[in-house]
Amino acid sequence: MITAQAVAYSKYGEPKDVLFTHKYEIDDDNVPSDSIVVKTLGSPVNPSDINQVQGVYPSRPELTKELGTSEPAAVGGNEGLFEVIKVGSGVSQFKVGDWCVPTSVNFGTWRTHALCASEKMTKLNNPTQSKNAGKKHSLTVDQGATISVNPLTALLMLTHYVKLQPGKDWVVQNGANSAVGKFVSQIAKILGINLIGVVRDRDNLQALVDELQQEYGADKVITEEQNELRDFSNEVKSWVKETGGDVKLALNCVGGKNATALARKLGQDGLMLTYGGMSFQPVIIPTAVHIFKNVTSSGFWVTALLKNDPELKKRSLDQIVEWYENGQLKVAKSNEVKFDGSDLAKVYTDAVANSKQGKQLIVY
Amino acid sequence: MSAITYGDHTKDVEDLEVTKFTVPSAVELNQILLKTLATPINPSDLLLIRGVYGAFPPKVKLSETDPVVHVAGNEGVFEVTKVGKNIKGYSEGDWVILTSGRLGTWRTHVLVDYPEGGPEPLFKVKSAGEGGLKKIEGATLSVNPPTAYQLVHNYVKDWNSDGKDWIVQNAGGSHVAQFLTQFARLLNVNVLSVIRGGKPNHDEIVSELKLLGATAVITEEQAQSEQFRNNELKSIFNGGNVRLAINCLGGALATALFLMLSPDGAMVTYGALTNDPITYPLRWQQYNNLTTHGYFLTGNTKRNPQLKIDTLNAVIKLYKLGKLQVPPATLLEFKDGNLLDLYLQVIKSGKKGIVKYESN
Repeated sequence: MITAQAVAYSKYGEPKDVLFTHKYEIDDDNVPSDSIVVKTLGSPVNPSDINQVQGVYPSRPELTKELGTSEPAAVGGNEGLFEVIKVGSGVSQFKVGDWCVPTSVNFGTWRTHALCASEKMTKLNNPTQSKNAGKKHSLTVDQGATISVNPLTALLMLTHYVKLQPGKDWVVQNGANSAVGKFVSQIAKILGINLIGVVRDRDNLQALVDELQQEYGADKVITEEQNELRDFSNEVKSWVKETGGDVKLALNCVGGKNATALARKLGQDGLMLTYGGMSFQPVIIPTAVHIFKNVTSSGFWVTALLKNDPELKKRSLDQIVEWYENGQLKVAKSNEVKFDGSDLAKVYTDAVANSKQGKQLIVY
Repeated sequence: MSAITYGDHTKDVEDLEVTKFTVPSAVELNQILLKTLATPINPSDLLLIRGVYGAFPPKVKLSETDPVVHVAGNEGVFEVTKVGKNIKGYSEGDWVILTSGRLGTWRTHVLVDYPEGGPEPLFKVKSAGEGGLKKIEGATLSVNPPTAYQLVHNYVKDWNSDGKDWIVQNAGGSHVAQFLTQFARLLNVNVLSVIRGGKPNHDEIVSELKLLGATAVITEEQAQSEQFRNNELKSIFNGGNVRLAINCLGGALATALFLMLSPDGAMVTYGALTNDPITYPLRWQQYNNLTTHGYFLTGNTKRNPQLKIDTLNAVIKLYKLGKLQVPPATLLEFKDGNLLDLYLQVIKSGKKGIVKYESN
């Protein structure tokens, strides 16, 4: 018997008010034949996890009594890295020691252990497997626990919609200093796609520009002010002319004038994908950009895209893992908090409170 | 022969002139002579005359002796009267439209040079002796029906015929909107048309639009009211799938349409009558997977000339089957007298009008 702990909620509200620790037993000596038992290696606190607990996120788990709570409840968290510790007799794709991540969102990753059907998990190489395969690096817990949202968002936006010609075509993105923005820069570099990143002006701007160019591979970094300046577009045009391609894709997570300026940089038939909104400003597109440049503006939400396409998710995860193993991709380190066996809900509510200072990762 | 013309000095319709010209009694080997059957007066014709587009179309030569001028009008249907010996595929009595508006259409006759290997200047809408297409249908064929047809067909390819799909559109009283309504109804797709309220003949307009097939007609004020959208509009849609929004206004009236879309829907903008940009809530787009596009008939045709031909043929076929009608417009007949007076009469009424050339 394993005594597991999970951070659950049975009503929506502020995390500190509604999250509670629920303890329950997992009978690891009698694992159903199609199931596995996993222990958690790490799970982060994402903004969308918080919104989910608040009840304001459009994707959310059903509240059930599955874990033996007195009221129907759900376990918090969507991302996490797990290690297989028991395997049901009918399961062939996992063995003890394998690493895995949830196949879908709404798994409930804020917990110490889970018993689940084997298809609820997708396998990733663990360090031994990477080493045996002759890889330079292996996945860290931080990389594995945060692989499902930001890296996949970046990869799919760059590869799933528009055919970009390496060396020639350009992508322009705002929020270039965000977690997704840094993945976009790195993946564009790996794919040979030219990239312009827009960042907010700041005192130590040059240091940020250097970081994004040297550490994350952005070709050009410009400020929001430059982005919105009509005259500056000639500069952009000269960069694009030099490579003989076009600006085919714009990635927007800001909105407002910033997004308008991004859309104006697109060439004929370009696409703008909006994948987040830090500023809560609307998307504003000049009619002429739509009509005469035939620009399309679409929403991107990784959860909706991958919901019905586990194959695409698996392929994309494998690609990210390979880049991590080759040392081609890096992730800004999360603030790691070690779970010391005390009250798990307290650990997560503290992490929620601290999440404004950077991404919080609970490691077990 | 007369034409309504203007020069570079023209500021408004007041400055339009009538220019008399002659046509040769016999055409050259590569020429076709057309006589005009009917032309509409479109808002865009007036904008062009007023110089709103920033550039006039090129001047044309009406005859060997007259100075070159701008001829007004972009649409019209013509009958072939003389065919040069080198030109194949046309006979006297065929009905044609011009593939480009450059020659101007507010004129009694057009002498068309048929360039060898050059772009096709004419499109045949009906062979001599063939029935089934009226003058007013041919006259208004080039712009509004293909725009409306492509808006309905180019963005949603899998309309359900179960009567639960919806299109919402603003400027619901425009001719494009009225054509669009008819094309949608032929697919059993519902149409919600948003029109400006407060006109004295409001009820009459609403029943006219419904007669052409609009499922529901609401005012701009209602469309912009969140309360209306969350209550009355929900019961109008009745759980249906709002898949397409068609916008030619921009600004708040475009936002209102965007907010009516069901998940995975699209908004297409083909005009900007308010000059305001397209604005919508970012997370609404992201979580509902909504897309916005621009539509430009001229751009589409440039990219794929065959698309316009196929579209025109589809529209003509519907006319011939009696499944499509020209939306209400003022009809005037030119017999003799001053051609310009007739056009000015329509322009000054502010109504949509079509001039039929009865003397031809």
